[in-house]
Amino acid sequence: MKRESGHLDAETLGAYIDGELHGPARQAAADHLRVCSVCRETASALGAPGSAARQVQAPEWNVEALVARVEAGISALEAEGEAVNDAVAAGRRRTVERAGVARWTGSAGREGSAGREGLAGREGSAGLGDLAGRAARWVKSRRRSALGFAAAAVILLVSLVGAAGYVYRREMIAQDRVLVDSHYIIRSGNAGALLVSYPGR
Amino acid sequence: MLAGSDWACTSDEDLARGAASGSQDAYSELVRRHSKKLLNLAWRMTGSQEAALDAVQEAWLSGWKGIRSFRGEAEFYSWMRRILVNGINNEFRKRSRRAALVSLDRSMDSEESGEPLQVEDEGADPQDIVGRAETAREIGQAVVRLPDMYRVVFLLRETELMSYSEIADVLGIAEGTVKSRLNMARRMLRETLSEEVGSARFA
Ligand SMILES: [Zn+2]
Repeated sequence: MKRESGHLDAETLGAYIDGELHGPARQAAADHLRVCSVCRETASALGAPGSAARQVQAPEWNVEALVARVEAGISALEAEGEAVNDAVAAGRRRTVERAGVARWTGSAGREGSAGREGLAGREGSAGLGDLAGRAARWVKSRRRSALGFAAAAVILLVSLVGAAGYVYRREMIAQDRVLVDSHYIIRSGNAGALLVSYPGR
Repeated sequence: MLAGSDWACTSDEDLARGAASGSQDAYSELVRRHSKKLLNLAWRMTGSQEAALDAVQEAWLSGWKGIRSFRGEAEFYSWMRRILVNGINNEFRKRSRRAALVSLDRSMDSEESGEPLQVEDEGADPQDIVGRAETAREIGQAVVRLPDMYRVVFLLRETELMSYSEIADVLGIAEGTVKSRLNMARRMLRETLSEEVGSARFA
């Protein structure tokens, strides 16, 4: 509490001026300060930065612009929430992840477009609401296009399998014909017909 | 949809209750009521108007997400202030991690880009006004230059007039730590000022 010099230490003096000394400690400090000008000086020096800091004039804030920014941000949050709820209701985990992406891009856009303009006092809320709507629509459109993609993939697969089957069957039929024909030709003893009938083979 | 003035007689607690049950208008009124003080605190903490606006906006959005956890046992402003201070502190922590990778000097320079601090002109004696203006401006700049953990404690005590236990509670540190950081902040500020202003003023 007291230094070797007999004066109060800075922490105690600071606590004293902050009203954070209680009971006997406060009484002892008060008694010492009454008789010691050195500690009184130190105490007022400790309080000086704080009272100067309180005198620093704060800027003029455009509170309404901030209100608009916050309102737009909340609308975006709510739109996000709805998109996520939709996805959960549909039981699609992948869409939830997409909504996360939309949220990220949405907030990046918020910083970019409304951030600085809102500061300058312009109305940023319309653009932000728009952004929120776009984010929600983006999630929905991605979901639609994912379905479309899956359908197209299934159709493609089916037609590929079909085509492959068709080609295979044709091949088999052709081979059968070769076998049948060559068998016939060989049996009939007309070997030259083999070359004439299948010139490309 | 009610205009701002129609909420005048509604208490913060009632507005918060309205917001908790989904009223964005009630929440907007809270934003209107408390933003100025929050912006001033954020500006003192960050030293930049832009950073202050961003931090306060983020705090209000976090507040909206957590409004149901506001039970009214503390004043609404204190509840929001805690959210704001924690948000800015997290930014400080991220920044100091980055600064450790880059260079402390450079990050301090970039933080100082804010507008020059101004001082209220009160009192009659022009000499006194100039003197106080200089001191306050220098203090403002010296406060911005304090290491984050000292600046936060100093501002919560000296401009928010919070008690040691409130500061300890908000920051999640011991009261003894509050005391020693505050003492350190005051000592650093005194040293900065006695170098810049001359030892006469703080002898
Ligand atoms: Zn003494």
